[in-house]
Amino acid sequence: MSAIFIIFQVFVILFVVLTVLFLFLIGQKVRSNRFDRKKSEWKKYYLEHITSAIQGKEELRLPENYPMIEAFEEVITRYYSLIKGQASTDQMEELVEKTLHDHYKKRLHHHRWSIRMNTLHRIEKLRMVSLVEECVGLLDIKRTSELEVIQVLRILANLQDDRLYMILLDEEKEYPNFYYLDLFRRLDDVHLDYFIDSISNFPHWVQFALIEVMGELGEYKYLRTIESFITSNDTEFRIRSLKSLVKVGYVTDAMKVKASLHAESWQERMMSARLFKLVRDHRFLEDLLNLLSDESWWVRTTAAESLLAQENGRALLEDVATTHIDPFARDTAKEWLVRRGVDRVYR
Amino acid sequence: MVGIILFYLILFVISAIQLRKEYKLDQYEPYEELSQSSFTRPVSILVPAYNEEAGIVPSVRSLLSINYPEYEVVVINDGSKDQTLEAVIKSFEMVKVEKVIRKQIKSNEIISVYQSTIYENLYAIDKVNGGKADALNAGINIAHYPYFCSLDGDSIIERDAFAKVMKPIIDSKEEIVAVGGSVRIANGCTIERGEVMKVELSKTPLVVMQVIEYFRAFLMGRIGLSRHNLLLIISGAFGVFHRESVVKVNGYRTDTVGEDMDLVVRLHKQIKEERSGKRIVYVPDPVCWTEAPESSKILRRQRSRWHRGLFESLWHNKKMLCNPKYGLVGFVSMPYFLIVEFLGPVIELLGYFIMIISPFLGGIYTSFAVLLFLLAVIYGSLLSMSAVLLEEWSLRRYTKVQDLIRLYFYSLSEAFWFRPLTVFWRVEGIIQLIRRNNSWGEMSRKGVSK
Repeated sequence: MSAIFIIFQVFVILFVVLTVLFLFLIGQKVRSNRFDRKKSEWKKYYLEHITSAIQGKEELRLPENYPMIEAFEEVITRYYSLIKGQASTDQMEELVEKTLHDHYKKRLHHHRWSIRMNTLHRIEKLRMVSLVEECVGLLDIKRTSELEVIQVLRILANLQDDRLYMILLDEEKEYPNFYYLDLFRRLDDVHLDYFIDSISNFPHWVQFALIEVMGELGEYKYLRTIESFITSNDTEFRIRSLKSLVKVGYVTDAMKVKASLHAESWQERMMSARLFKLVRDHRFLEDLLNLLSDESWWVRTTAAESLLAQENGRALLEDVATTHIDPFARDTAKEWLVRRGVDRVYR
Repeated sequence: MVGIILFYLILFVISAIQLRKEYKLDQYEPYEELSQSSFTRPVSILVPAYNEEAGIVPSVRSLLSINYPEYEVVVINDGSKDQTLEAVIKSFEMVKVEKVIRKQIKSNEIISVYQSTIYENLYAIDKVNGGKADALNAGINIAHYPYFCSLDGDSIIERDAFAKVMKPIIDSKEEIVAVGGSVRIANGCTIERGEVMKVELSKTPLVVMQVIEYFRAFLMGRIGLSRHNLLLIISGAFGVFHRESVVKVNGYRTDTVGEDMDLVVRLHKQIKEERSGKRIVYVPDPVCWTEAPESSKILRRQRSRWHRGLFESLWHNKKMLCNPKYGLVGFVSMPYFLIVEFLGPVIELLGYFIMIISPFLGGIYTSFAVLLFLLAVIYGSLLSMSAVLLEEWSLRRYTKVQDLIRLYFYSLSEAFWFRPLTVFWRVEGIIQLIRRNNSWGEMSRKGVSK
């Protein structure tokens, strides 16, 4: 009997709690929908008037309450997205600062993570220089999460701030590679060169990102640095530098790469084979032909692709397709002869 | 029973905290850089299709317009008896290509491979029929990229979905082996050309109940389980996998009805055996929309099939059960799935049975029956009501107040009609197992996108 009583009580309590929550959430939803309606109206207003306000032709009604602030935020952020890359005018910056500075300053210290993240994104997007110090201050606070730190670093990168150098030098934590690449892409030539000139001072993960960025940019002046890693003792460094060279599409001394064609790691063999698609050099034909019988599919197919690009490549592959003892080699050669080197293979 | 409810409550709390953290995070902003970057990981989207001539072309079209820098779409025609392959070849102007196929995973014979001349990242495979798992395996063999995604022919992926699902992979330095995206029910929503325009609740009661079920299963079970790498099922509708890892465990098994769960369990096993510390995670924000059965006949078949599949996965991987070598997955997840999910319906059925007879037997049986009744209502209705409220508190996909009210009251009713139905169907699945009935049954498709 008592068991039922207890369970019944539990049931009633839960039910009451749920009903209260439900009513609360309904109330919240109604309010929230109302907020959204007001916001949409203000968005329409701002969309209509923002262009002329920026050009100084009219005075914009400044946000006085939350729906207006959010509406304004969204409109101006979209605006900035559209004019990406082009410089923003003084009027725009003034407008943004006037409206959002205080609001964001408070938000940076909000207890909810998602609000802080959104604020940082907006600050970055709207290039609000006035708030940089506040953002840097966040780096010293304990509760700041990894993603927030990355966002602050992005803001610094956008502004070509020198502090980025010291921070990355001392930072012991390894962030995902993707983010370092993103940071370096935002730096201008001069600042990126600071990093590259002292590349070996940085932890290896930063070095990888720098090597990759140099490849992306593809400029001749970086070649020497990239190539210095081909002969590294660390396999990963060699692979990354080869990958980078493939992106650049050129290498000053091909002989340095020869060892990689026979490396232990299949990625290294593949990358070096890929390099020879762009760097046509008859000294390596034999190595490439050997790779057609490699144990890894990726190496074989890349070798075939590269061979096809060589002088007399077609003839060589035709020969392989008909006479080679290894059936894998014959198959790969056949496939590439039909493709005529046009299809894409994952890089 | 009480223990089970307690377990669910704990899961609930864990997921509530986690979901709330992302509350109000801008939908658009954080993913913008991902969708424009050339450094994001490329993905192969595999679409196995069998007799899908009605919806396959719109589905593929919507896939071709998703917001992600580098990906390919591979449609696998599993020996359809209708014009599925022809429709795709014609609409996308495809031609046959010569291809060396790496047979890393065994699959039925591939007859030919086609590539589109207008979308260079669209491929189609024509192969001998072998079932969905077999089709996926063939697709994996052809796929070029390091990650692949398995997608049903009638599911719609949100345009910005990929970036969200790939984000954990990008953030993680390659230790993630699979990511599950949550599946939502498209019935009642307005979908145009592959994009979800309005999220609304369907009028059909059966569909509303399924929506609630999905809330319950997805929000609570998966987040709670995912956080500690206990995630057992990535729903067949949507999941991104690391290709090499899947090849390592020999792809999908073709002799089971629940191939998705089976793959995930084997991946868990592999991770533990190689002690690599790799993970399987889940992204709660809805990403994939799928058509739910609207008639009880089809729903019934689906449920009994799922239940059979559950058993087959558990049985095939029984070595993991309560085996310390497999950590929390072996000690918590698998027993949970075995006792609560698989055998649960049997216990519930017994409960109902007792409840019905007891008035005739009187005495302590009556009070016992009342007890069971209360527990059933708590377990059925109250838990679902909590799931609905959790969804509202955190994700808020259904904007109309009316929809929230309907969801709440329907969930209240769950214990009284829907749950007994599903219990019955799942027990039916067990009976079918005993009789060794292995079939997918016919699933008629309406086509979801206009």
